[in-house]
Order: sequence, then structure tokens, then C-alpha cells
Amino acid sequence: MHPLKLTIQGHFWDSYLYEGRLYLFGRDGEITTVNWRSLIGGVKLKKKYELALICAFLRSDFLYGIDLKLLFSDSEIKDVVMRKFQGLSNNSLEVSSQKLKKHTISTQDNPCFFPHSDIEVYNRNIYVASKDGLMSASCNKKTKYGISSRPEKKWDGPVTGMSASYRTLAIAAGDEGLYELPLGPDWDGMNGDEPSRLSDGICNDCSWAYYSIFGSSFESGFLASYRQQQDSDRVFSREFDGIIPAHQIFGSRGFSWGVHDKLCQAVGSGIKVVKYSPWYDDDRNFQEMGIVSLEDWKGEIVSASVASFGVVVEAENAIVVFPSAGPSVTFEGEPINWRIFPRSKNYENQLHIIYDDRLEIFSFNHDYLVDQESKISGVYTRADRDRGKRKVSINSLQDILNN
Amino acid sequence: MYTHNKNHRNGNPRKSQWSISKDEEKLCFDCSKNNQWLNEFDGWGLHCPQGDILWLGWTQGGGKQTFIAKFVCAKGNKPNWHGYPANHQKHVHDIPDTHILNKWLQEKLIKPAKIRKIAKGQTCTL
Repeated sequence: MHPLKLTIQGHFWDSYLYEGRLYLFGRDGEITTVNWRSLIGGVKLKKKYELALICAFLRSDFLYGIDLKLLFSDSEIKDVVMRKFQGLSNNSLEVSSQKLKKHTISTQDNPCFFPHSDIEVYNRNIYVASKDGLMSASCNKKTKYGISSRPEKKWDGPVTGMSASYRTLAIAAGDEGLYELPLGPDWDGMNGDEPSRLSDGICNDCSWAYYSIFGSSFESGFLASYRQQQDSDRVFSREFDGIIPAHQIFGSRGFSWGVHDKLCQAVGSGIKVVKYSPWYDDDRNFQEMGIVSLEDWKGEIVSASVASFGVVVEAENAIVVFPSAGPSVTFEGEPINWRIFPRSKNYENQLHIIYDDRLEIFSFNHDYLVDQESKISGVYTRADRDRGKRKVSINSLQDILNN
Repeated sequence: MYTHNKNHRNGNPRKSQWSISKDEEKLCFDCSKNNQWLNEFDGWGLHCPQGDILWLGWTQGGGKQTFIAKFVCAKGNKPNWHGYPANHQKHVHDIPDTHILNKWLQEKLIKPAKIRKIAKGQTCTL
């Protein structure tokens, strides 16, 4: 099934979708905050495509629901749902700059580093990083602009990539290594702590593999391994276990990366995938899943990540998605930036790619039907994963717009 | 004052090596100075004799070609600068400062996609 595409015209540097707001970082140094729900709600479509539109762009978690597994085991129901996505993909979803204005909450001068190397949003704070350091600003919907115009500098060290989870910001600092910054008891990152170094190995980017952190590097990479501890009050904490070099995990060296349960390494013939299950104490914690073939290979890897819908690899002149089901999808051309949201509740099916004059938002909607236990390409996904058993109840698009 | 550092021209595999002439290296430094791409003690440069950016050297061990130069100034009575081909992928401090990347972006000297790759320490070709 082809991904759905929504195009937003403009000259952007980066984009981030969080709690119903789309933050667009312009290349002229401005930030535009857009009401994402109203933008999608304003798309004029036949009523029969509403379900597909909601799942594609507003509530990626909806069709992952455990209760829907039984429903999808019925092939007729499955076909009806797939036809809705197919029908929606025949509609052109274009957002002109005029239309974008209609849904814009604020436009402001960028008060943080620009051009940044990475951004991350966690607990209604945005973290903006560059070689010159790390800044944070609130984006709690209480400030005049989408992002507070008074950011706080958190660190002077260089940052090439970062990722937040478990009340901690993981920071990749190139040849200075991998750091982590506690985001404080109130999850606000304002407790004045300095980042602490976990490894002095080269780390160009980092991602969370459950409660551990995978440090990605062009030379190889490593896993900063953690155990999860539970005290007598049933409160969980992370205990540092040590650094595991990538060659010990994969049995070979090469550019490697990992998200949640899927650790990947580029090898000659494709991408080697290892399933990571940190709760095992034996050799089941690293299980080789197989190799994803690289038929559509486009040269040296620039960057890579893993989403629920598949493995995403950026080569010099293309982005290639190896979906959890079906053939690979190639997006030709050198992107200015790209981003996925593997830890998002509602947007984990999206791939944002920025080109010279537009942002293209792709929505992949095949993974709901894939067996999550056995899939090789893409992280394990379930609606209640890491979130408690949330009850999904949506009757219409209006329900989402009202929330 | 600008001095050519012989370690970056003698084939030393532990040092990045210039592929441009000494005169071109000096012109590259002058260009950085004129364009205010130099801080007090460090700075970055590009080799663009005819307007287009060209490769200027090789990373350590002849690994990869590079098109960014890094200049450093020895602290002393008189500023004494020298430079070398930068390896932004391996050495985070070889990545140009953010305000310099912004100048290159705004002046359209380097495509935005390349600027992002440099800022993130990723593979970047011309």
C-alpha cells in the first residue's frame, strides 16, 4: 500500500509534531506554530474517508488497538479499511502558504540556535541543539508564541543529535561521546544538572532502545545498556549496566542504529536486524532476526532510524523506507531534513521530509495488519505499549477537534 | 600572520592533508578573514576560487575528501594562524560554529541539505 502524502508549501529547515501542534522552523530564522488538528480538520473530503484521514494524520494509535485485532482478522473488514486508505491516497492533499496562514497560531523569530542540528520535544519543553550547545524553551500552550521567546541555555557542549525518554535527554556529542541529562523530578529539565558522560566513543546520533540508549556512529556504535529496577513502592528506576560495542551485538562492524526493540547495522548485502529484549538475562536479549535486502540501494548511508512502519535509511540522494510489509519505497532527491516520531502516541506512522520549497508528510498505514511479534523491519508497536491501557474512543473527526 | 603547518602537507597519516597549493590555502584563509568567518581564536573556510566550492583536502589517513578548512590561532603577542582540512564527521569541534553555518546558509554558499549534514556530523559530499 502506498503511503499517503500531504504537502505543505514553504521554505523550511525542520518540522516537529507534538500534541496537536506542528512547529515549522523556517530557513529565514522564523518559527511558525500551526494548529495541526484544525489544519487536518479543514481538509475537504468525502465523509467515507474520515476514518482513514484520522488514522493517517491524527491518531496513528487507533488501529493498533488490541481490541481491533479480532476485527482485522476478518479479511472483508480488512479490505474495506484498506480501500479507504487507497481511496484517500487518490486525493491530492496540498496546503498552500495561504491555507497554512489560516491555521497558524503564531509566527515568531527563532530565539534558539539556528541552524540547529536537532530538536526534541518532551513534556511540553522543546530542546534545541547545535555544535554551540543545548537550549530549552517551554511550548506548553500558555506562552504568547508557540515556543517561549525566553529559552534557557542548558549546556555549552556540542550536540549532533538527541532523544528524550524516561525523564532523560540522551545527547550525542560526536567524538566527545554520549551524554545524558536528567530532566528533573518535575520533568521540566530546569533542575540545573549538567549532562553526565556515558561513553567516550564516537556518537553522531542516539535513540532510545526501551530504557537503554543506542549510540549511533559511522565507525560502528554501541549500546549504553540499562536495567530497570523496581523498589518496594513499585517505582521504576534505570540502573546503568555498561557499554556494549555494536560489534559484540552484530558480530560485525559498520554504521549501526537502533530504536526500541530493533537494532540495525548496514552490512554489504543489506541491513542486519537484531531484536533487543533487555528484560532477559540470557542470550535471548539479542536475537538475530535476519537481513533486510538493499535492492534499491542509493550509495553511502547518511543517516537512519527505525519507525513502527519500517526502517528508514537516508542515502546521499534518496530516502529509502523498508516497510514492515511490502516492497521498499524510495523518495528520490537530497532532502534538507527528515524526521520520524517513533515515541509519539499519535504520529508514529508519519515521515516528514523537507525539500527546497515544501514539507512532504507521508503517512504509512500498512503496519496495523502486520504481526508485531515476528516483523523484522520496524519497531514492535501496540496501542497500549508503554502507556497503560488507554481506552480508545473516537466517534468522529469532530471528537478529535474538540479534544 | 598566517603560517603553513608542514604536518598537513607531509603525508602524515595521522593528520588531514591539503590537496590545494600553499597559495590557495592562504587565499582560503584571506577569504575567511574578509568574510568574517573567523572568531578570535578559530574559524572556518571554503575554497571557491571561481565561485563554486571545491575540495581542498583529505581527512586523516586519506579517508575522505573534505571541502571545509579549519583555522586556529595560537595565543600570543601577535595572532599567528594556521589551518588544516576539517573532518566534521569525526571531530565535533571541526564543525563550523552555528553563526558561521548560518552565514553560509543565508548567503546561499552551501545548499541547506549540506548545511544540515555538516551540523549533524554526517557524511557530506559536494
